[in-house]
Amino acid sequence: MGCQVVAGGTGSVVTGFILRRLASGLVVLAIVSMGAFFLMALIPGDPAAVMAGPGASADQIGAIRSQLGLDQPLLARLWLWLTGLAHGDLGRSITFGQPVLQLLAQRLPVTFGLSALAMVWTLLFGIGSGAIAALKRGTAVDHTIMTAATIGVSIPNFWLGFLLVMVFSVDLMWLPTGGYVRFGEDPWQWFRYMLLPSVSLALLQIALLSRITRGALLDVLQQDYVRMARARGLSPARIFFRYALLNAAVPIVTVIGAILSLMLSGAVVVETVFSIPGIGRLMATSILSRDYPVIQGALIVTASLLILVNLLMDLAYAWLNPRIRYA
Amino acid sequence: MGLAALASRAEAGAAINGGGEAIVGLYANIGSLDPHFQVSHIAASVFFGLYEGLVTVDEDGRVIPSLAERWSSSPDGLAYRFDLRRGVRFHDGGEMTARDVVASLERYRRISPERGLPDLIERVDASSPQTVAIRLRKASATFLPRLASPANPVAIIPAHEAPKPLNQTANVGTGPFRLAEWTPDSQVRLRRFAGYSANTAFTGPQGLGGRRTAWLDTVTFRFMPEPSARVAALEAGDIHLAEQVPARAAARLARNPRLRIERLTDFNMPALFINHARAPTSGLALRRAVQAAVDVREAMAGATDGAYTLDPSWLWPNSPYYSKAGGELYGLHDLNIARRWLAEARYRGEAIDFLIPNISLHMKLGVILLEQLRTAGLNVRPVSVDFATMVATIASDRGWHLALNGFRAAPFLGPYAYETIFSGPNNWARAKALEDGPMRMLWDRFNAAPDDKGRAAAWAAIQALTYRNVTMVKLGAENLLIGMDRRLQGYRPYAGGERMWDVRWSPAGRVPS
Repeated sequence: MGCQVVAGGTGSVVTGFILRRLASGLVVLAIVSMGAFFLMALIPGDPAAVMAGPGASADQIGAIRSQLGLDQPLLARLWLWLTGLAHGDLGRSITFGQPVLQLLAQRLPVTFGLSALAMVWTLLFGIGSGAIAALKRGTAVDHTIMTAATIGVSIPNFWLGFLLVMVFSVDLMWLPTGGYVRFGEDPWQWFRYMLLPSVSLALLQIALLSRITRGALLDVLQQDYVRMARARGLSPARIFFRYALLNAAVPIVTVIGAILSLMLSGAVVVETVFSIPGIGRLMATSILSRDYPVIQGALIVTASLLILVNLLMDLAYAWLNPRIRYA
Repeated sequence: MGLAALASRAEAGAAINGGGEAIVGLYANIGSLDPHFQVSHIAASVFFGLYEGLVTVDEDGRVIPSLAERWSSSPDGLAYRFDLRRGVRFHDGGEMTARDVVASLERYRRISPERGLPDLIERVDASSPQTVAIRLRKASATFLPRLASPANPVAIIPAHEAPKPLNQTANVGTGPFRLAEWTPDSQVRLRRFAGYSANTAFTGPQGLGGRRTAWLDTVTFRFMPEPSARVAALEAGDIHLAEQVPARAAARLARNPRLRIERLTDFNMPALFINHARAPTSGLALRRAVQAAVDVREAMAGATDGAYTLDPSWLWPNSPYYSKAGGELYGLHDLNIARRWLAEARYRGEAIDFLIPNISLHMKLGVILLEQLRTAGLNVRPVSVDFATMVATIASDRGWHLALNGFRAAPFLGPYAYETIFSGPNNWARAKALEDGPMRMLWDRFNAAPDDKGRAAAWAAIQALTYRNVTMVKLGAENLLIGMDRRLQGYRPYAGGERMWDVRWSPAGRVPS
């Protein structure tokens, strides 16, 4: 399915669109990186004091500040940060002493895996339940699904996480309470460790997607072309997948883009509850300990991911609906 | 179903005493693993499995030999000679010699944020492969306690590691365990060091030293800041020891036949810090009103769910310097006295900013203290902050009058750990030179005392002065409740950190691996 676009050829227009978006993305990243730096400088708190712990003397804290280079002027630190960034160096973690890039590279696959599994549940159950509710509109099935979705939207994921742990880990002892095993090490164990966290992360999104899918499908199912398809005697399955679902896809894709962003923020809580060494937990720890380089690095990486997701969403719109033009 | 699943998790392993894995759920995270930079009390649990120093501390915090076989000092107290134990090997196979000790001490002086010890030392020399000579700038009773301090460990590492910059060393020590894995912010795994040279001068483990034996194959320290996650993991058998179990959960865990609860009374000493540099708390009368208004029993009982003890001492009861001096002013809780002091202070309801950090214990304490102080007639405004903000704020004279903080290492380490907290240009009360004068004189007396008796008397006077001057208000001692698998034997809670050497699985039990 190609894009019916303005003159100049599909490929070149798409390429131009992508390049323009990437260029604007770079501007956004520059703003984010500067904003992140000055935000860190503005918030109160001192990583040296956190490292020294409660009851440490001011002399000790001062010595740590000196060791970490935190006693340098703000502009000198900004210059160091920007020159490092220009060379692809995000600096070194104050708390862990490791390069930020290395820390992020270790954590990103963990969070990607968690988010991917959560996205599988979201798409499967969100679109599935929303579609069933739309097809069974006004019935007990529809009311049940929408009630469940309302409850799902209202449940905080940390509370759900603990509830799942109490039932499936402590009482039934089917699944581990927390921790992480790499996918490459043991895919089955990875799945066992990721199951409860991914369900915790997905529930809110499932509820959200279910409601959006139902609404979008109900709208489409009332369109003339669907009635026409029915009149032509097409099978209900063909009508649903070929005409209804595909045409309802644009609002659904919009929500999926937002869900990807929500999952990154939700990962902060879920990874903490389940002791998963992902980027969310790293960010939470780094914020509390004022580990500036890690916070700045993580913000840049997550901002890059969100820019990429938005770009992919825009491309998906045009792929799904040829009437949408690249501008 | 539950028991069957649990059994499947506990794989039958070494049938006798040794072997197996123990997983410990720590309540906080460990940042740097640099042996000469780490100052976090929490890191001690990991560090003393990996590293050893020339000297260390016993069960009561007294100095005992570790890598040094013995030590002696010159009559003027300026020169120390340490004779090293022979045949001690590093985790990389090299033998520990005086050259390694000199290089480690030099690195410590260069890198450690602890300045007291480096400032004392003038020179370190290897007078022979097995002898180290240390020359001090001035005689000090605090030299050996500082050298043995678990809060700022002077770890001995191979000389070839010593030139490496901060956070770049390979974590090679001489301890009973070696580093197997460190995933920052997630877990540290230690593996038994087969080449470990136990200190045969002792008959068994003592504090952080003595004759230590690593029975377990591996010990994994998992960082689990969320209390409910630690409790659930312990109940499910995913971890075998959970630190800082909430008191209510501990009552439930105690009924579980698989588990037991250990209690460490000397864990954390919360205190109400008072800003002496800013009115109205700059006035002694108003500070005495605060001191009299606080009901420490109600505050500690409410905040800890009963896991607390009350004691006026700034040191734990097993310290050789333990004293109850000044105790008549501890836990007064007399509103009439408080109001009389307020009248004497001519207090007109000026606002008092009270920093409450978002740490569970402190938030609970903060709410209770807030009501107590308001009941006494003080216009206290709560300011909720995260820990980093609070520490940064109380390091200055402005922005606060009262703040909740606490001590974990100092009550264990001894009086010297309080010197820069109670006195000097950066004291935590923000007391200025004039007010600090009498306190400074007492510290000088403590440091110059020729023997333990003189030092104990000086410390008692210092403690009494903290009460008379209301340097800060001691609240009590939060007990540490530790939930653990009943089959783990040999574990003893310790104020210096978790000790996983000499811990083993019950011979009758299954050994997780």
